[in-house]
Amino acid sequence: MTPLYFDAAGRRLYGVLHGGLCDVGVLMVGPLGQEAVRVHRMLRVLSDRLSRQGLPVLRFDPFGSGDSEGTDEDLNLATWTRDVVAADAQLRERARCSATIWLGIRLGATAALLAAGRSTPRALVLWEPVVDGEAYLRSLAADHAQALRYSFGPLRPCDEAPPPPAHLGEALGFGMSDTLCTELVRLEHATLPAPARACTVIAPASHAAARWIGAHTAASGAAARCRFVSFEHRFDWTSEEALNTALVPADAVRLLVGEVEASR
Amino acid sequence: MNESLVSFGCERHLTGVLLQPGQPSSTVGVLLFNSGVIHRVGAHRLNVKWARALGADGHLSLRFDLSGQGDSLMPQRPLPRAQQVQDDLRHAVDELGRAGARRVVIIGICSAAMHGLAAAQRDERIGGLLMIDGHAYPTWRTPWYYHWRRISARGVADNWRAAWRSLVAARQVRAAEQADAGDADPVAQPTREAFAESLRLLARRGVSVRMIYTATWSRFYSYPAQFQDVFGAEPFARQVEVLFAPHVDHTLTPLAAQAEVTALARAWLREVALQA
Repeated sequence: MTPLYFDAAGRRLYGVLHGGLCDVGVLMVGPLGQEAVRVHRMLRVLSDRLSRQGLPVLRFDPFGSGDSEGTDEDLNLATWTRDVVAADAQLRERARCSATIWLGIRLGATAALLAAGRSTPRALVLWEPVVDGEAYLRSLAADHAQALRYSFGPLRPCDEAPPPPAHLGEALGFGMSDTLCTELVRLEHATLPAPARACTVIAPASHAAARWIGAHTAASGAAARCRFVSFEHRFDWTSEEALNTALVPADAVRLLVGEVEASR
Repeated sequence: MNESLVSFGCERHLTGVLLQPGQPSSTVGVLLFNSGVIHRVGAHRLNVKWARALGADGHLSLRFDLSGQGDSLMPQRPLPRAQQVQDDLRHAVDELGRAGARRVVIIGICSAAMHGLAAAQRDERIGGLLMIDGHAYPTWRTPWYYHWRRISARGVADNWRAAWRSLVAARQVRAAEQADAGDADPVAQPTREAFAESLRLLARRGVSVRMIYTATWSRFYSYPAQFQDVFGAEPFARQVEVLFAPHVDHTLTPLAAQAEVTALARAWLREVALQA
């Protein structure tokens, strides 16, 4: 496990490289804000498992998150997608990979999907990609209110109505710029590109991503390279502690490792 | 300011980010590390935000992961958890010393505050502690204020619902406590006398101690004068500054709460730097 900083067109990003050299590597694209904090341990465990199976893995913090440069408000989908491409180049260079598999989670899966058009990953494995940005913003606002209710109990100073999704401003302890919120408001099934690469989407059967991938495969005839894997879980994406759900759910790790291996 | 990666510890198994200010204004180094299971960036990325805000004021800092957490590895022969944490903190203070810090302060929430207090007792290089929701010692008034605030904040129907939920929750807590009975708590609450002895020691050494208690901790600390009610007869009670902050939560979720505590930390550190 080698922590490192690397340059992405003038933006200094933090990443961790697991494993040695191999012609195929895995790029982890984690989620946004509190969800990224929540899954950090799971990403480390996943990376350790994959690297033990011979696959080098790079996980990284996009600009404006984690230990990378930039403030919360600097993070947006446009820079995030560029950071995914830069991180992919780092992985190829450092682990001497000729091919990469991108494993994206939540909004990170969406960023990976958007970035895939600008790069050449061999395959995408996307866990619950955000395909309806406005609904995602509404869910963040609801989770934010819930977190405050949990922390304050009835002592919460006031229960204000959340601002409109395009101007959310903050969610679960992280600043959110209008740029990011506007990008998310515009993000919907119809505006998302069809996966240009072999793609596995993992989500509960009722998740919007199931309808999105179904519509794309029907419309574009991309069924041969797209697969939907139904996966139900009790993992709480935004809680600060495990709160009665596993920090590293074994079934999720097993499934993700299996899907990455299958894409190899 | 410049952020660089450092590996340190007896097996170089600890990973951290050392922030060196562009124009150093003091020889104080700030130490930031994990709270609970959260990796070194901290809840809501607070450790990064604090390190950069304090770096802009000219203060050096190190934020790092304890053994086995975040991006740090476990040593080949780990110590029992509480000892391992103290060993890690000693190495982190060494690392800040190598970077030029002559005096180290620790800012921590919850378990980080508690580990910080234990470290400050053992390590004379630690000259300041800012503890958010650390150890708290209730008085007979604490449950009264706690329940009174909650009851007066709710309507009648909500109070009945809350009473029912409390009964259910109490049963669940008892069951969980029985299930956890065998686990050793690495940050077990010291007795009131042991805590007082810690603060006496720190006061004798001139360690600057600030404590903040938030709304989330109000079951344990529920009114402004609680610290004085418990420890007011002690000479150190005049030196320790305690802020009861029922308008903020445990992990400073609203950005306004983050800004308020960051401003407080900056002002406090200016004082510590002047003393140093």
